[in-house]
Amino acid sequence: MNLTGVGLPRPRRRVSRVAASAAFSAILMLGLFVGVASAQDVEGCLICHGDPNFTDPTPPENLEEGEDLSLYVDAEKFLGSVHDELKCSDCHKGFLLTIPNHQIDVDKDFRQVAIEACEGCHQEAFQQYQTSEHAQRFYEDQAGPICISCHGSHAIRRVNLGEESADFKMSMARDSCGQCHEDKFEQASHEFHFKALSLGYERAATCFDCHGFHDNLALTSGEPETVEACRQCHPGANKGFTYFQMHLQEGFQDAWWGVRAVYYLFSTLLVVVLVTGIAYTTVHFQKETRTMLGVFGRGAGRLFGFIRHLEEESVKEREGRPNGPEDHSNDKPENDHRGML
Amino acid sequence: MAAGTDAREGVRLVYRRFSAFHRFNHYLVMISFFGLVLTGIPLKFKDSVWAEFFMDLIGGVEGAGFVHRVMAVFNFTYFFLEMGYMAWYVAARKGPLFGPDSIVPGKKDWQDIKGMFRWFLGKGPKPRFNRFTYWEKFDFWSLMAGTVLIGGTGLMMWFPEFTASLLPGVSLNVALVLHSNEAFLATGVIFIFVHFFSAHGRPESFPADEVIFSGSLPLDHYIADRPAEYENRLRAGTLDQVVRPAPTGPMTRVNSWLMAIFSVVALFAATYTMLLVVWPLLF
Ligand code: HEC
Ligand code: HEC
Ligand code: HEC
Ligand code: HEC
Ligand code: HEC
Ligand code: HEC
Ligand code: HEC
Repeated sequence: MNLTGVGLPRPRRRVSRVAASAAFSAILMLGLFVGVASAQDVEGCLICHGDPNFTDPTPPENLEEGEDLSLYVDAEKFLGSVHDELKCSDCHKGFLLTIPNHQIDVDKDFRQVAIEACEGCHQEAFQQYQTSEHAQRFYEDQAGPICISCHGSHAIRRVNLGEESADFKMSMARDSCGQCHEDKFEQASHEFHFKALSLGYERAATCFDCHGFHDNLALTSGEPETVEACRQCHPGANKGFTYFQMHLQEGFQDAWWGVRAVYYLFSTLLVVVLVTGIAYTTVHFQKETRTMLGVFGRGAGRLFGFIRHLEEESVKEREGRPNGPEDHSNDKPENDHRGML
Repeated sequence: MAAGTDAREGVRLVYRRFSAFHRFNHYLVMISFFGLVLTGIPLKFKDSVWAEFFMDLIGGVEGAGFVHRVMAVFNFTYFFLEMGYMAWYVAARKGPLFGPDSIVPGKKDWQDIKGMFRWFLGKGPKPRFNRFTYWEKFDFWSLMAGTVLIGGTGLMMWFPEFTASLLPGVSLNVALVLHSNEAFLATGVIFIFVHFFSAHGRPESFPADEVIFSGSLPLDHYIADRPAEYENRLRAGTLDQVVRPAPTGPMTRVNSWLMAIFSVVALFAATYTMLLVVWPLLF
């Protein structure tokens, strides 16, 4: 089974092909010239497609009025992607610079062609993908993801299997899995692994570490697969370990009651202690300050009085300081107390 | 002649409040507390723009995790030292556990609280405190209780697989909620509002109470601050246990320096916490 025959929605043309060809054959003539001159697939294609304002002159009919279908390909991103050595026509099969309408078989949907191209070079990944719930859902109603839903098309990043960067893990979770599994991503992002990940800790688990990516997706607490999933990084994990609740709402509404109880208890405690703590400290602080400074008079004079007092204190301390340790070697503290009575 | 100065020889006398053991423990508390806050808070408030910056500064999640664990060990150390001391205090009959000198709360604390509120309202004199005031006791015991809770849940998460071999995995969810909320309570409330203000921020001790660094305070301050203890000791004739000639020599300078350093660190820690916690609320 392959992706051929799975009907992706095909854009319909507003202008008939015959009329349109007149409109942009001029451009194509130019392209032909430049294309042949450069003879390079990527560079040649980017002469037109590398322009950020390049839009489809014959956009499909179902496009909103005033909206353009951009045909721009960011050259920098493409050349920074893992496919920098590929030619455009490796994916866009049948696109040539040397023919006027630059797609050999115009009846083929170009997207379909490009998507199917992945399969040709990545057999193994495709085979794995075929067995997944995602593929099933895609063949059923196109709700499941295909290669480009997760990887993108022109800016595909290197994976570095086994030593993915924190940034890769995070962006995969947020920009691909998170696009369809919004709730699960939102929930996971309050959890330890994701907090650590978003602070750059690449060893922490992201979606695909636990769930897998091309196959083996669903996990259920207590199942042996789940134990295996955790064991990749927690070698001592047992069945009980997998009852850790990975996906919980921020306020823990969906959590086990014990988690909720602790959460509500401590949130309440926090507020109560915070409010009473601040109130009490303010009163205490204010009373104590007033009592102490009150000795020195009123208004601004109070401040000067206090400063003078501090100066006197330091003078007293300097004068009262003993000359050396021997000065009080035969000192008897008991006598002093009697003196002070 | 001012109280606390020897009439004949001009030797200044001080009240020795904290032994070297207690001061050492306070250093452990300070170091571990700051260490734990600095390495733990960014994880809790990872959405703050500052979180990543600070996290990178302290060596990323991995480095922070390591420091956090070392500090946790310090934390356990002072806890067990303090509890051990208390056991020894009772065993060696240094004093009754519920006596006036003890850190254990008693009936007098309740009276002091009431007296204090009367004083706030201008309806009575300021209560005459014993060796430890009620807010000091609150400070101490909330720290000890917090250490048990945070330490226990921290250990659970340090060894999650071991925890899961005893308890179901959801206990780790509970542990995290408890750890993080209690830590926040400890930092935000006990630490900044109660301890900083009541111990170090009051006008007579601002910006830091020297007594916990030098161990002693001038006799006249002592008499004004803890009149009840002073009178008890006077009556019992045990004042000589706590009154000493003022310490001299290089240690006094070292203590002042340490105090200055830790004041700056504390200020930094408070700013740091505020940046992480309050900043996201405002912006
Ligand atoms: C002379 C400018 C020019 C050059 C060079 C050029 N293209 Fe195009 N390309 C266009 C235009 C104009 C369209 C819109 C055609 C249409 O709507 O049918 C287009 C459309 C496309 C499309 C989308 C097809 C569709 O039906 O919307 C793809 C894919 C594409 N080009 C690939 C390439 C590749 C690959 C190369 C290099 C081999 C290339 N192009 C070179 C002008 C150019
Ligand atoms: C790895 C395969 C691959 C390569 C290499 C590739 N493309 Fe594409 N391209 C695709 C896929 C897949 C799509 C469909 C994207 C979609 O539907 O979102 C696409 C879409 C397009 C489009 C339609 C507009 C758009 O962005 O959706 C244009 C134009 C295009 N490619 C041009 C190029 C050019 C020019 C190059 C060479 C610089 C190139 N492509 C290289 C896979 C590729
Ligand atoms: C012409 C063959 C070819 C086609 C078509 C192709 N790729 Fe690739 N792809 C490669 C090669 C070769 C590499 C390895 C590049 C390298 O390692 O430098 C690669 C690498 C990758 C990687 C990174 C793997 C890693 O280990 O880092 C991904 C992901 C990927 N391709 C996805 C796709 C997708 C999605 C498509 C379809 C849109 C596609 N490829 C189409 C040849 C192709
Ligand atoms: C559900 C999202 C998703 C879909 C759909 C998907 N991939 Fe992947 N793919 C990933 C993730 C995530 C990784 C990286 C896994 C890792 O780093 O452990 C990956 C890794 C890869 C790799 C490199 C690792 C390897 O196994 O060789 C290739 C190549 C690849 N994908 C190609 C494809 C192709 C081709 C398709 C379409 C048949 C496809 N992927 C569909 C998510 C997806
Ligand atoms: C294009 C949207 C899309 C993307 C992207 C996507 N998924 Fe899915 N996923 C689906 C759909 C649709 C299903 C099947 C319906 C369902 O049960 O929710 C599904 C099912 C799953 C399931 C099984 C759920 C169940 O109830 O059985 C898991 C686990 C899963 N996806 C994980 C991932 C991961 C991990 C990624 C990223 C690597 C990802 N998905 C990317 C759409 C997507
Ligand atoms: C640490 C491992 C782990 C990570 C990381 C993780 N999950 Fe899960 N996920 C699980 C486990 C275990 C379950 C099943 C138990 C549960 O629901 O808590 C699950 C359940 C799910 C389900 C429901 C599947 C079902 O069969 O009912 C979906 C969908 C899902 N996760 C998607 C995601 C997505 C998307 C991400 C990334 C944002 C992600 N997960 C990250 C472990 C993880
Ligand atoms: C990609 C590796 C990886 C996978 C897979 C993984 N974890 Fe983790 N997990 C980590 C790392 C790294 C840590 C942090 C360890 C540390 O430094 O303490 C961690 C910590 C934890 C913690 C302790 C922190 C806390 O919040 O209590 C729990 C619990 C945990 N993981 C549960 C799970 C469960 C359950 C699974 C399987 C569904 C799982 N992990 C799968 C990497 C992983």
